[in-house]
Amino acid sequence: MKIFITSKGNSMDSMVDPRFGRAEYYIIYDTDTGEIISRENPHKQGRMAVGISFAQIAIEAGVNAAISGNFGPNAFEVLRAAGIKMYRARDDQTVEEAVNALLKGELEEFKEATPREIAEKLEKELK
Amino acid sequence: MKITVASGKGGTGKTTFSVLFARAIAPALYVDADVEEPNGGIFLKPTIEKVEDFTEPVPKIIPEKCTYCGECARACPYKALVIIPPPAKKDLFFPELCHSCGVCAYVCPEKGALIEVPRKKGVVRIGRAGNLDFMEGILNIGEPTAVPLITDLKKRVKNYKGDVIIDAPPGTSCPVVQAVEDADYVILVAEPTPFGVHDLSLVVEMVEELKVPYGIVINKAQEGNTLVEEFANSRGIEILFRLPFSEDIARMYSRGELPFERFEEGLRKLHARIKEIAG
Amino acid sequence: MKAKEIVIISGKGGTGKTTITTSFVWWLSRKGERFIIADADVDAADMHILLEPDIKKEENFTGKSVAEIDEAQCTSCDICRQLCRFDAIDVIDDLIYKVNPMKCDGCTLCQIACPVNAIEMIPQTVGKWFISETEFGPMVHAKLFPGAENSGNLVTMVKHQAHLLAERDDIPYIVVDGPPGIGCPVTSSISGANFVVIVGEPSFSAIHDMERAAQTAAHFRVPHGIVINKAGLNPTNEKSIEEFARKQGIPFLGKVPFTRCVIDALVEKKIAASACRDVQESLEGVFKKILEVVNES
Repeated sequence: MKIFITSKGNSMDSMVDPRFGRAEYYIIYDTDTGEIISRENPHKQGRMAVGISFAQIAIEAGVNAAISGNFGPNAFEVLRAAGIKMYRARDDQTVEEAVNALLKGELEEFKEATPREIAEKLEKELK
Repeated sequence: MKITVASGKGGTGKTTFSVLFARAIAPALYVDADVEEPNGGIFLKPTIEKVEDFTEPVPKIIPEKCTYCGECARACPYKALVIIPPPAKKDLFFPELCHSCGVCAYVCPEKGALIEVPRKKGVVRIGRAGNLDFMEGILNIGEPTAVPLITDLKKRVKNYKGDVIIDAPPGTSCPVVQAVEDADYVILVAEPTPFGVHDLSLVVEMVEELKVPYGIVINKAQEGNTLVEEFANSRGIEILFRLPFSEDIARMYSRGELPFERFEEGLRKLHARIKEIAG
Repeated sequence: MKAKEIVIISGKGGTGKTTITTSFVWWLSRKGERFIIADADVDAADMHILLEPDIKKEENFTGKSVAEIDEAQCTSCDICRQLCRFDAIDVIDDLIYKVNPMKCDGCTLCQIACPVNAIEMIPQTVGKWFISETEFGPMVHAKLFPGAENSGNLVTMVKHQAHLLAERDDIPYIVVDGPPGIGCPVTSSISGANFVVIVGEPSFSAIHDMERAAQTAAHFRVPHGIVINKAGLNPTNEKSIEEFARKQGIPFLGKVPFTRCVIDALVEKKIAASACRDVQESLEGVFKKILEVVNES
């Protein structure tokens, strides 16, 4: 499968970039061939709706999954329509670590939350 | 004569003044162009005679004719269209990003694959409050830009025979420019606080660029407070009127009322003065 | 360690959000914390009036492009003017075609349609951004020229510059004064935040804006809560905000009273919390909670 990861640098050792649309780089890793493509994000300075353009790069590359920290609401909708599964990496993971975690099934799927869920989580934390 | 009332940020009393002024000089037409949050009607309490939809064309993809080539999505300057190519063959439209510019329809290479359909983006309400004609535009929540609706309001009042008071949106962004642009005179409402004077300076910058004659009205004016006067003097701008700070007025305002009679005479004199300057 | 971002946003402008943000800045400073101030509220940048920043660095900021017609190439075919939906193309004497930059939406339709390629899209400088020093520490802020609009990348840039400073000087917190309303700039301000404070105002559109803001914060799984400002001015509307928050499950953090003291502080260019006991007291608990939550995440 092909995995799309947002990255702060252009190698597998780089830290995952938590932002989707305005990430510095993106890396596409093919688990079957081991091929790695890394590119600077051409949209990161875009004015508006950057997440959509960036998501289209992932779609055109034919990836099956995307890893990032934060998928904005527009990007989320686009990737979901394209059937690309979204996973959430931690701030302190490298691209390589995030990919391995995904392949081991240890990476959390990105699911939207509601304000109520956040509120309940907050209440628990502050008890 | 078309007089637009503008201000810096929200909350300075622009609507308070517009409404008092419109009532004082009636017969006239009051237009609430603060389409994202029109509230002039709360105080004027008009009888609404007509409600018309405000629509703009948006793209609609006809799946049977569409080849999912993606031209429309590539050309869309606002990224409002997403095309997922075959085999998935999906199209996504983000209405809150669409500016109804027509690029998608223009570039689509397949005849009939992308058509434009009207999408309701707001309403225009028309009525009367005594001898004051009333019009307001209300933009639907989530619409990306207020400008087209304000342009529509302006078109509607173009041939009105009589004075028009346009209650502009707050601030200095595009919608305000649209509302102020071809006015005969602009009244700037300001509060005598450091923030108020600062915001006033920004609006003055905007109005100067548009080259429309203007003057200042001080809202919530207080004895001994000369913040706005100092600014006005330094720029040679006329102070047209002062609405005093009064808890009484604030309380009436929060109930949806205003002391119309109290300022009637003064405002009529102001109207005469403006006609002198720019009529 | 990446600096923690606390973002304060509001519904439409005029909620007095500046009271909350500057009070937070003052409170943090009293606690001895170091932080960067990022003012992304470029639609109504008021923080600098109270904080009086000393500008150290200034850069131009580019916004949307507008169309420009090359008169030499133009054949006066009138296609662009007929197609333009924004009435942005004027013609003089049936011959000379000019784009009105104030009306141009930047949609590129005229550029695409022009049969002789006489139209180009020219990026406009729509404002400036600054890095300054204040009595509380460094501040990143921006100013938009009249007629310009805030954008996602301006907000992102202000935050990005703040993070660069924070990283360089090992500063733990960034306080972001976010843009009003909803839409792209607000989404940009919430993305990457560790806590979002939504300042509520008792008005119809503000309630909807608050809901959207809460949903956006929740989408990013960012802890957030509502603070009502100018409490006491309109008790009925306040109640509806509280009820609304409760029904939607949006965390309610507290209220800030609207008093004579706050008005006077405004006029004297003093920070509300520093001048008014009741503002300080009403916000103390809120600020403590915010720090607790961000330090845990």
